[in-house]
Amino acid sequence: MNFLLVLCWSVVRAIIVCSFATPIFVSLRNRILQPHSTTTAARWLSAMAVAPLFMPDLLLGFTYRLASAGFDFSEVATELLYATILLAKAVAIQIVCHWLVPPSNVSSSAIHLWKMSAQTSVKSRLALIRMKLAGPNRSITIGWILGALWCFQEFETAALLQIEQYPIAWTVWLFDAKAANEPLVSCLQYALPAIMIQGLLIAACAIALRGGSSNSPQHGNTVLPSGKASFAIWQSLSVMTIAIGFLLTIFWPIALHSVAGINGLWKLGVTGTFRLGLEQIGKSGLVAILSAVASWKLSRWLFKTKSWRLGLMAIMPGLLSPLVLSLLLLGLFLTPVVRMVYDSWIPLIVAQTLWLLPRAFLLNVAVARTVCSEQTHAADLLKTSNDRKIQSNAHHLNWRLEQRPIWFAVTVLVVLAFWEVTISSILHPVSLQPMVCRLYREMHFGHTEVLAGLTALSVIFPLLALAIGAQIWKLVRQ
Amino acid sequence: MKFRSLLIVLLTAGVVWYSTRSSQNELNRLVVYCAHDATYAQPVLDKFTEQTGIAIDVRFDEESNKSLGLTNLLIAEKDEPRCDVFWNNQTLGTIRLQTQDVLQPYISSNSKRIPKTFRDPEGYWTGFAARLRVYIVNTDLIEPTESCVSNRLVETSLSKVAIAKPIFGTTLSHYSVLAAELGMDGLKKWHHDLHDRGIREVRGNSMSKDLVVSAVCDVGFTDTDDAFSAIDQGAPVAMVPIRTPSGATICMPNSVAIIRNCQHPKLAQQFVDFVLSAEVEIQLANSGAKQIPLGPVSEDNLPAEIFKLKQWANEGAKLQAASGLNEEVLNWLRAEMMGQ
Repeated sequence: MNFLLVLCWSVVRAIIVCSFATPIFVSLRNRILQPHSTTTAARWLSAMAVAPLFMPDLLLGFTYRLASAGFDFSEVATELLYATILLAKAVAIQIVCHWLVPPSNVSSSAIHLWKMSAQTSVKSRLALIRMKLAGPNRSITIGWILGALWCFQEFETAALLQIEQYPIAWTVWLFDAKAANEPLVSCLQYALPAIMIQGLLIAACAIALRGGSSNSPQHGNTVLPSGKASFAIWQSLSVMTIAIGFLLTIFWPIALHSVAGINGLWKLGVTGTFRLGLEQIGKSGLVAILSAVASWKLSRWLFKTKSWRLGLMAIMPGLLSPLVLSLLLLGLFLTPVVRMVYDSWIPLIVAQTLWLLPRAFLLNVAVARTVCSEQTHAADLLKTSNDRKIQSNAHHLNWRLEQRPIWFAVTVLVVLAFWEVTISSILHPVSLQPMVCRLYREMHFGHTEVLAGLTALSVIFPLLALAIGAQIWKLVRQ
Repeated sequence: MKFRSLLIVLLTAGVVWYSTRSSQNELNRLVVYCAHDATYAQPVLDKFTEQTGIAIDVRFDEESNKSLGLTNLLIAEKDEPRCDVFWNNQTLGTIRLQTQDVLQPYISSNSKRIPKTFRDPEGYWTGFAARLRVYIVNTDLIEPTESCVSNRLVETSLSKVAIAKPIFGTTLSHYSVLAAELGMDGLKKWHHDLHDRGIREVRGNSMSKDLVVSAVCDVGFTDTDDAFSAIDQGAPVAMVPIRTPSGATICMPNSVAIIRNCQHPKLAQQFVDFVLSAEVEIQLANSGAKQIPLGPVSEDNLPAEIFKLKQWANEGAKLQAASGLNEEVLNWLRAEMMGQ
């Protein structure tokens, strides 16, 4: 199958999946999927809908690697299974965007008035597109775009599920082409259209993100299906889809591997390798933290420079597939000038930083729009009070308004870096074996117990460390 | 703010210092690239360290980095290698390194115990502890005999037969051996025939094994180590040797070689001597992979399953001819895969 066809297939799948995710989210968002839902049922549904984002792709792929093989039409079954897993994640992305992205300050009447002005110049048309992207439905637009990006870039689950070429994914195709000795330059040429597609999506997302602030009044109303009965049916279908997504991505993998995971943790404890496992997680976590912080700082600086050319150049390497990026950097670090640091953590950190940069850039834009300058300024003023209690409250407010979103963003980057396989496996030094590579190995040998145990540790330990870190940071800042 | 910046700078400097303390500069530390499965290789490496006091930094070949592979990495690092010894889990890739001038010849005293067929006469590489290409058969679905499997493979539909993608690992070697025997045209005809009849091409030997274990397929092409992992877990499977049209089996030894201009040549020689010893061959025969000793070893120390495998290994096809065709086979497969 040639690359163009594979690429089109990947694009179409991303579009279809995200276009299914949007109505599911829209039908439920106003009544149920709120960050501070009031009813218990709504809280449970919100948690169930967001949970798929926290399940490592590696474990998902491992759980379902043989699931579709037994069907007569296994190609169709594999594609459907993969699309359903992506759908669960795309819905979760929509919801998180709805919670995080502040409402638009471009109203639908503004767009209507702009249309009425009936200007036909290219500039005016572009302005209209910008307004529409940043309009009342911008959180949906952003959620759709980020969901599409996620689906388009996905590699691990696709590779692990793959039976007889299905599901078809450009990332897997490129990996196999390189494995079959395709020259790097040629792989780079293949990757170019994919970079352009991602670049377009990121540009659209950045435009949409710019069109609002946390001072804006409220989210706009999307046109919902008319008629009470059809809306109720639509809502029921959406709840069912979320339930299926939860069962598929959270319940079943945990149910299948939980006993094995507990046994695995027990085994690690008995054989004395528990400490080694933690050490491996610790080192991998440290690399991930350094990469995340570096990409965050760099993107923040880029964001402040407001030079779109520089920004574009900086985020471009991160849009290459991790494979192409790693191989390019491998070549670079083997050149005499930088050869001295080849066998260190530096190539790995540099690669992960570059790969994270487009993601960090988007998170930076999102955080900048989430933080309300008036509120933070008010909190800063309170800090100058002579009353210690007011000062302490001001610090707490400042943490909630300004610092917490940053911690959240950096945590997302750390998790992404920690679980990235391709870069880690190609660029790690001999003295450091990243945990994610070890998990792959355990999976390959079918060591389910150790795999499940280590995966549980790898999910819990870094999150726990980051939560403790956040508390310490909060105390230090006070 | 200044304190925070200072902290970040100090932390970064600390990490850079810590991570650049290269093992290459340490006198009593060896760097080994190992393509053999880590679960089975690590105990051997640990034993070497225990016996000699020489620490080993090892880089294993992972499923996740198949796109690069240790062979390609060694070629890329050729001018200034960080690796001292390459322990490959087969031979063809090592022969490729020899042609690329990556290897340093060394004739170990222990290499004499290995039959000549399995070692390079100039000492660029030496084979040891082999595995075989086998059909893994689900015994609930089909009788595990050579004739039954042969009959199964000539049926019109192969939708219940699995094979790994031939661009990786031992399936690529299998294809190269067939190319040496059938010629490239014969190989292409065989490959297209299997695909026309709907053989299931999966990502690796372990998946081929898993499909047979789960009874989705009744026969799968795989290696002895994967087959043994299923047998040891109590799955209803058995193995039957894969034979080329001339009747030869496909026996693939591990191979060990020293890297040219490596940092620790003396330690590397010590390691090669150790790996080629009867002790290591016995250890690998008793591991989960149950690898076949190529040199003479005391039969009392071998598990029962090995005896049958030794007999099959003696009927193995010559690999030298296949090594010359490895690249040609891969180029053709790439063109097929990319729709060219």
